[in-house]
Amino acid sequence: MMRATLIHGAIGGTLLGVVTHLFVQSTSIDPEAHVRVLEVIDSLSQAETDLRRNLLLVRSDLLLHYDSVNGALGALRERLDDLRAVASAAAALESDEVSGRFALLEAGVAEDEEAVEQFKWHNALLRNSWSYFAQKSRGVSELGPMPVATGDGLFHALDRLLPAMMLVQHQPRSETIGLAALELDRLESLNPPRPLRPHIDSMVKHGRLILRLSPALDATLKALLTSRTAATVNSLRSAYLDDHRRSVNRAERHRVLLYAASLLLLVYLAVLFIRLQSGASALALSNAGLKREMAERRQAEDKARALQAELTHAHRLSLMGEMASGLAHELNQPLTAIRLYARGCVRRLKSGEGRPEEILDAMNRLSAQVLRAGAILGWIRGFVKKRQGQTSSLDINALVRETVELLGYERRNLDFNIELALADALPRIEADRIEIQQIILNLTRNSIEAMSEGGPEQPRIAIRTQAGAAGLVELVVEDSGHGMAPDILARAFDSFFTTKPQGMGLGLAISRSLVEAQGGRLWATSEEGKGTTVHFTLPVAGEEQHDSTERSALVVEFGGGRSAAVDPDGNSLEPDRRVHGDGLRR
Amino acid sequence: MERSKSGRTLTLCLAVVGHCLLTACAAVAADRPPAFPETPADGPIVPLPLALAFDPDRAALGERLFHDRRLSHDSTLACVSCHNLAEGGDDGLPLPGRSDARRGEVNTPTIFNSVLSFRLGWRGTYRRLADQVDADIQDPRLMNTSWDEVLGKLRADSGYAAAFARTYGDGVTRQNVLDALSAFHRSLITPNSRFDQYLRGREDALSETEKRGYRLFVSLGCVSCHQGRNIGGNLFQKVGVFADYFGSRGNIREIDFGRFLDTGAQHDLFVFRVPSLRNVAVTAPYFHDGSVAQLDDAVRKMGEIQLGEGLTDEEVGLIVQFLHSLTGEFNGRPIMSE
Repeated sequence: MMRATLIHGAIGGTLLGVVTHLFVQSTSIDPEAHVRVLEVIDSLSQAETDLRRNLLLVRSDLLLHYDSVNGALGALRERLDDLRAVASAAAALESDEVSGRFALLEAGVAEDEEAVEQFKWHNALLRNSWSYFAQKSRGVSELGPMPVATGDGLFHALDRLLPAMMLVQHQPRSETIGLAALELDRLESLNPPRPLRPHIDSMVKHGRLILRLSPALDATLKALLTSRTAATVNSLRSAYLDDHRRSVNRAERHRVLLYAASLLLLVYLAVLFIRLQSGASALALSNAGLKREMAERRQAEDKARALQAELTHAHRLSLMGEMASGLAHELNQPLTAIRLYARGCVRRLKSGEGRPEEILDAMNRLSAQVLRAGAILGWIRGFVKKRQGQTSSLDINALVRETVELLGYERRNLDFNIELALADALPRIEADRIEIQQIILNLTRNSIEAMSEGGPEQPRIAIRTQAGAAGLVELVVEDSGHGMAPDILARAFDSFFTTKPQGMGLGLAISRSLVEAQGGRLWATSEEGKGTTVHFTLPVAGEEQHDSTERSALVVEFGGGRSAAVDPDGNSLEPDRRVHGDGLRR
Repeated sequence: MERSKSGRTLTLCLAVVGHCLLTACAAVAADRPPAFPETPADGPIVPLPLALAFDPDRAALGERLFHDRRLSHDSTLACVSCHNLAEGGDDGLPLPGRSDARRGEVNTPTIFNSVLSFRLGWRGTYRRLADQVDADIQDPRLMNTSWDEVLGKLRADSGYAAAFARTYGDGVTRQNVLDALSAFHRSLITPNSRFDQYLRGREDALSETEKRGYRLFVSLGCVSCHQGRNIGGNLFQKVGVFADYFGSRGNIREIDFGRFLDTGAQHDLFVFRVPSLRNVAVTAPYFHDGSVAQLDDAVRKMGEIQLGEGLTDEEVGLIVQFLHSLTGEFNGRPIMSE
């Protein structure tokens, strides 16, 4: 059961985990973030194009300042920052492919920036030198007429130099530069007259700088125009798009898997549900079986109880049979008294001497004896009747005394007394009156019999009542009879085990089962040759109610005028009183 | 594409060089105008924008910070101590500092219009104001403090705490202090100089000599580097193209190595950021070492080392006249010299 729960828990948990994982994996990249990334990449590409356009404008002198170049470069840097921010929000730079391109792009932009600085610097120098070169050539012309000899040569040299320089500006290649350098050398070697000298020197200085810087500047420009930045932006874009497509595909696949896993979970739940249903019907079936079984068991129990009642009844009948002669003697006493009273009355009526008061008195005594005989007969009838057990609250001491009364005849045949040692202030017990009497009678009779077979020197039977363990009252029947050997004691409570020739072997077994049915315990100790002691306990009544009606009735029945000897609680007034035939019988 | 580009370049070259040829070869001493764009607005110099957009609340907070001496360790220096907004946006000293012991290594550049320069500092170390402030705060010769100390002092001021909370939400942080200063920085421009008015079409904004000075400035090639809206401040250039500035000055220090200190590249030795010439007449002394006190001497020096030739007094005078027309207005009043 536990294991099945664990297994189902594990399967369900795993399926749920898988579904959750798939759900997380199937969430596609936020489309807005995707669009933003693409936008930033586009604007990056735009800024890059802007930069190149502005560089060309500057180089071709269509743009005479560098603010726009700086602006484009700044924009390029800002777009890089934007891309970093947007990409980290969209988790777009995570793949090695894309982040590698991005790093490449950053490095490329940094390189470009250095090249742009170089470009601006050299371009400014070059422009400066061109201006100065032009200024100086004008300066030479402004100085006016020259000495013919030098002037001619000078103008001739300038004539050749200026187109050469023009060619350099147009095509800054090694041939044109070499040509212009030659012309510069020639101009320098002319040794111009004094007023022209500084101008010519300046022209040569700046001309040489132009020749040196032009190819360098154009190399820088060319490098910038063919910079890998543009290509890197494009490859970054395609790498990002590839990456995005992959993650979209992945999300798509995971969505399909999510669907499958959800179906699986659903099927699993359906299976569980069906199993639960069949489990419930199986439970209903077994429940019905259980009910049937319980009914059968109850029936069997009823049967056993009925059998027990039968046995108990049979035992009472047999007890009654054994007590029959004693009871007959007991009954004989009131009958004899009735006969005597009746005869006396007749005689006095016949003689006519009898006064009506005397006759009335005799008649009253007579009817008292009738009542007494009726009470004995009533008890016998009650004792032998088939009955359902019914408990009531009882005074154990009164019950003991009453029961011992019933053994009056047998007692009188004994040459010893039954000692009663009844404890004071015992709580009332909750038990079936007839059954308790049955037990006491059984035990007492057993003791009497144990004494009759070659009785001991000092025959003795004692019945004691005492408080037992918590909530119990204990009753002990003790004799000094022949006792039992341990092996016999061990079997003494078995049904149909008896050592008596006429015994049924039921007495002790029934007594024990009756005591146990009332919630008590019955046990015996015995020593061979010395005697046997039987104990039994009975539970104290839950609520100590006075069972006065029942008790007083019995006292009337058996006690007659003895009612004074018993206090209202039924406790004996003489704890260790030997019960003899009381005043009623004398 | 390639062909059309070279075609255009060719036409242009022909125009420029042809012009030179004409003037040179004809040998006519005429007062022909030099190579000069027809409309000034298309030229190498662009007028300053009249204003830059900025958040006024943040700028107001930045202005308070700019004037706050608690930005230095011993609470004696504020940004404004060296960048005096009433007088040229600099300190008027060759090198900053009140005592020799804690003297800065380079001349204080004016803060005006520096927001429009492509980089900050003499050698262009910093791309953004925030980087420069970061460095200056911790520079033992300048603010000599730390962010922890500065922010601690500012947070202790309930006025700042409230203003920052109102403006930024997350209170006094390094980020917010830098942002407020940057906003204020954007307000520190000096538009409407007479030269800008001229560029915007007011022919009479410049005198004839100033116009001649401008033409000379262009034709000599000064404008090759000093161009754009800040008339410089947008590229690097080597100091001493034709003459060794440092050798002739003597006493070369590490700070003279220029951009080399930032890049370590050989070609960056003695390379500096070309300074802006805006308000140049009111921001003496000149050069990164503050070694030149007079503007005409500075022009002469530039001619010597960057053009390779001494300029005549007349040329220098004309150029200086022109440079005076570059002084703009701050808060509607012309910038004054110290």
